[in-house]
Amino acid sequence: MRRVGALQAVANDVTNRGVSAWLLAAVLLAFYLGLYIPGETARLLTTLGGGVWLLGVGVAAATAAVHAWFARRDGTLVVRDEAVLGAKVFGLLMATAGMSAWFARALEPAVHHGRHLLPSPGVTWSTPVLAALLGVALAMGVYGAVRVLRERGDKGAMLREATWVLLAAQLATVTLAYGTHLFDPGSAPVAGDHSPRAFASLLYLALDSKWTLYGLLYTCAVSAGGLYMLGRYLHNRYQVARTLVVIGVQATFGFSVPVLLKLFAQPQYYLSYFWPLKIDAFYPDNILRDPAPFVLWSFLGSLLLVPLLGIFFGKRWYCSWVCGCGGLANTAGEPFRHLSQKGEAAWRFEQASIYTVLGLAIVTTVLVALSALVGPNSALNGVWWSGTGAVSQWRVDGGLHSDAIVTVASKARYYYGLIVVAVLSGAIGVGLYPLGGTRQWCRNFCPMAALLGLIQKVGRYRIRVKEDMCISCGLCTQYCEMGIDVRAYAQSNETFVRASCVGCGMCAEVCPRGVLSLEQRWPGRAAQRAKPAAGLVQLRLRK
Amino acid sequence: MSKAYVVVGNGVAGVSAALAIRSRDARGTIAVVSDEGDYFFSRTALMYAFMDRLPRRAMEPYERHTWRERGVELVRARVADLDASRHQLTLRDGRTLPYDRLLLATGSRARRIELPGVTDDLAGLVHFVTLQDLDACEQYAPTTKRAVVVGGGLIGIELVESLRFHGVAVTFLVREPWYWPAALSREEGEMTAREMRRHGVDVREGAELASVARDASGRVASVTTTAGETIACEMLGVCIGVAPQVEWLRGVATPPAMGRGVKVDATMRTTLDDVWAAGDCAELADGRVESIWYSAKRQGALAGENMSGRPKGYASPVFFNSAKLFELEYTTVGALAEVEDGAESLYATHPTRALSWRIVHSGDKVLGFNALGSRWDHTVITRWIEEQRPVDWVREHLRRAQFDVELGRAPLHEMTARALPIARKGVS
Ligand SMILES: Cc1cc2nc3c(=O)[nH]c(=O)nc-3n(C[C@H](O)[C@H](O)[C@H](O)COP(=O)(O)OP(=O)(O)OC[C@H]3O[C@@H](n4cnc5c(N)ncnc54)[C@H](O)[C@@H]3O)c2cc1C
Ligand code: SF4
Ligand code: SF4
Repeated sequence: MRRVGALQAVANDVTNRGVSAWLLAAVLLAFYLGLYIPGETARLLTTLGGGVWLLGVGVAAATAAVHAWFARRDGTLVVRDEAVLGAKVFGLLMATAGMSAWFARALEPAVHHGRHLLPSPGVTWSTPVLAALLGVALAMGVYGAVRVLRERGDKGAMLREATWVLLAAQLATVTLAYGTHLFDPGSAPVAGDHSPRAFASLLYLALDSKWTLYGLLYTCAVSAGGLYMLGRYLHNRYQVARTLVVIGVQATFGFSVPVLLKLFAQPQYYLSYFWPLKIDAFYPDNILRDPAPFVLWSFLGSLLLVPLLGIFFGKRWYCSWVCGCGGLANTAGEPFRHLSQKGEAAWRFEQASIYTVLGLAIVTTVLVALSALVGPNSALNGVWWSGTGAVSQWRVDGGLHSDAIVTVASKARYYYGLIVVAVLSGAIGVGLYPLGGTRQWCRNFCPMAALLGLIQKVGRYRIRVKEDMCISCGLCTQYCEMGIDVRAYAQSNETFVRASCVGCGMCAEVCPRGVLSLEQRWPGRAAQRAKPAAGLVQLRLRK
Repeated sequence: MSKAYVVVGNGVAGVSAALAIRSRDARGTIAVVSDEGDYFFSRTALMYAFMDRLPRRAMEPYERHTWRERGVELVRARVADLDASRHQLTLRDGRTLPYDRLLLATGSRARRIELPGVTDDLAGLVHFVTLQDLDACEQYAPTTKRAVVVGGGLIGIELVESLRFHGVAVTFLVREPWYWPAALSREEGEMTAREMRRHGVDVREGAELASVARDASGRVASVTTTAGETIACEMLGVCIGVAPQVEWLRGVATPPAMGRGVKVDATMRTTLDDVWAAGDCAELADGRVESIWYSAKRQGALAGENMSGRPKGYASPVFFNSAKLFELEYTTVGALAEVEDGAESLYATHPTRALSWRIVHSGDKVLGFNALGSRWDHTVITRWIEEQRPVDWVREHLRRAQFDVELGRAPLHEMTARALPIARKGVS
């Protein structure tokens, strides 16, 4: 349509689910599989062997068939389109399979295999490359500083420009940490040595992990995407505030605090995550291992803070202001938000899957807790009353096999980690941004979102609809990352709250008639006053 | 026996009627005949589709399977004849369609411009009302360096904004001394013009089109204004308003009574038995044609209820509307331009931001409210007008009607107000 340059053309293709979007999805999927479960991925590929082709054909055909079924129901079936869809799915799977093997090797922890395929501590890049990267970082920092000064007086804009400086600092850190021997102590640090050199060598050790590298990349993505967000929505104070907080939380609790903790020989605790998203916060072995303040924080946070804030502010306080998954979605993922699946079929899938995962999370936690209580190596052995004795008694009398529980619990724990954490939150969650929008994980699988959603339904948060002002243009629905048909409520004057709404505020932002407003108030008079719209009634949506 | 309902036009009026009928009559057959597109779409979303912000399918407010499930038959055809004595429609393709109850919801069409050189086959000439207009815009925009858009209303500015989005240079010819005097004061019109200029639009107030020249291929090559200036362009957008789409009804077997539109009574009934009309094509008893979305929606639903047997009258609500003029939000409530003599304005602006509000009042009585640059809850202001709150009270409590995003309330306390006379439309 528009006359555009090549770069812009690719960007457009990506955000319109074109071929480049499928390619990008394959790269992301492969990256996450290689990152989270390199062993399983490699094993699966070896087992499948040539069968991988067959599997690809099967999945592609099945996808096309299901899609065709829906299209036929709507009377919009075009056989060619379905064939193209099948071909795309096939291509996606094959590209993912091919690349994930490579990523799995590349991302293997250097400590285990002594390989440094990715830039990691110990690799010295050539001086020109280093100089260039540092130069870029310096230029970005200076540019940011100048812009911050130029915006004196406007705090929002100053903060926005400060993100440039943050980004520059990140780039410089990665370059120095991964590209030089600067931090390399040559030998392991000696205990009790408090010299700067010992500190530097500790930093070296702290950065020596694919997870730290990943955290760094993630934080960079959130900051860079956040910069894009801020530039785009500078006129909207809600978006500015939210984005700044999200970047801030990611840079601190999501990255530097855990690295610092590791430096001080503490467990790498991510203070911004709570049960059930951080399911292992409630695993007894972690509870017993981790320092008491952290455990306390996790418990208070999960059982008190999360529900209370949820009642008062809805799930948005967490999903759109704090959480790293939401943070990435709402920054780097911003250009993809309109791709979320709309329609009732998607809604039905979402409800089925998200509450299933919540159920699995609860069951897994309970099983693991039980197994620790009753197992032969009961964590409570000698800690409490002589529990093992009682439980052994129980086992004999009640037929409860503690061994069986231990086996089942460890299986549950493993598979929950593999499927929910690695595949659904990692690979699918981010990998499918270019194809299905940014909140795949948040919408369909996240147990925390499920829980907060239920709380939100009975709390104060809602989206107020201004009476009779909606022109049914559909922008709100199109740009809702949760695939909520906001228009359906707006055009029938219905103030509403949906469990899945993360309160990103984008429906209100894009609405050209200012119909929508996020607000906190108990339902009551306001709800009674609203009169139903005439015409364009809401047909089928359940609450 | 079940009734056969037929609706002509699948716009918001027609579809609202069909849904209202279905919610009261589960058994009757409902057919919606329309020639513009297969499915009901939101005409107001035209510019967002043109600006690639929405795929075409997303312009449809309901999922497609809805119609089958609700038992609404969609017929893509143009109605050519109406014979009320035989309760029958004839479609252009020759088919006939009997009805027990009929609704005319044929909407409006773009006013054409009558000038030397302008004919419907002129390539590069576009209007901005129908899906076919959208096709034409999408076809011409990539090969257009400069477009001239004529007309100083809402549809005009929407076309201008879309073209700017596509990187097209735009000259916007506004015949009146300032943009949109039917709704905005001179100051507000000028604020909007500044917003347009900020987005690179060449706005010419008080400029009128005199003639159009075409090139050898039959495409627009340039336009000349009444001031004698010639502007080279590849596209000409004509957005000088809409008129009820009722000409076809003048030649049918049994035409209903018509003025500008199809005349209806308070229950949306036309002068023909078992025939109703609603939306942009209906002319109300007091002679007004309300060609806005909300009215079409209300009138359609009301006609549907009346057709399915619940007599109910239509009362025009206190007027309100809103729009987005490029990035400038606009809200209006009540009467602003056509007001009693002696009325005046209280107009407030912000020293640095494009932000204003204006209360039109006659003595202590508030008549209308206009605001640019921020969001307002029109229902609160409507209530104040109905409750006859005094001007000073309204002014003091304005913040209660604010509807801006959280943390982003417009700073009312930084704005200063002054009295303004009401400038009459067309007075320069
Ligand atoms: C670009 C644009 C932006 C707008 N923005 C706003 C806005 O922001 N706010 C607002 O309030 N209003 C707005 N409007 C006005 C609003 O869209 C109309 O008031 C509304 O669509 C009228 O609906 P309707 O159902 O009466 O008619 P229409 O939507 O016009 O539908 C009538 C249908 O009937 C069909 N038809 C006509 N004759 C026949 C025939 N003989 N046989 C078969 N079919 C026939 C037509 O093809 C058409 O599809 C806008 C209009 C345009 C064009
Ligand atoms: S409904 Fe609005 S606030 Fe909620 S998730 Fe969708 S776009 Fe965001
Ligand atoms: S964006 Fe606003 S006007 Fe458009 S459908 Fe949604 S609520 Fe209605």
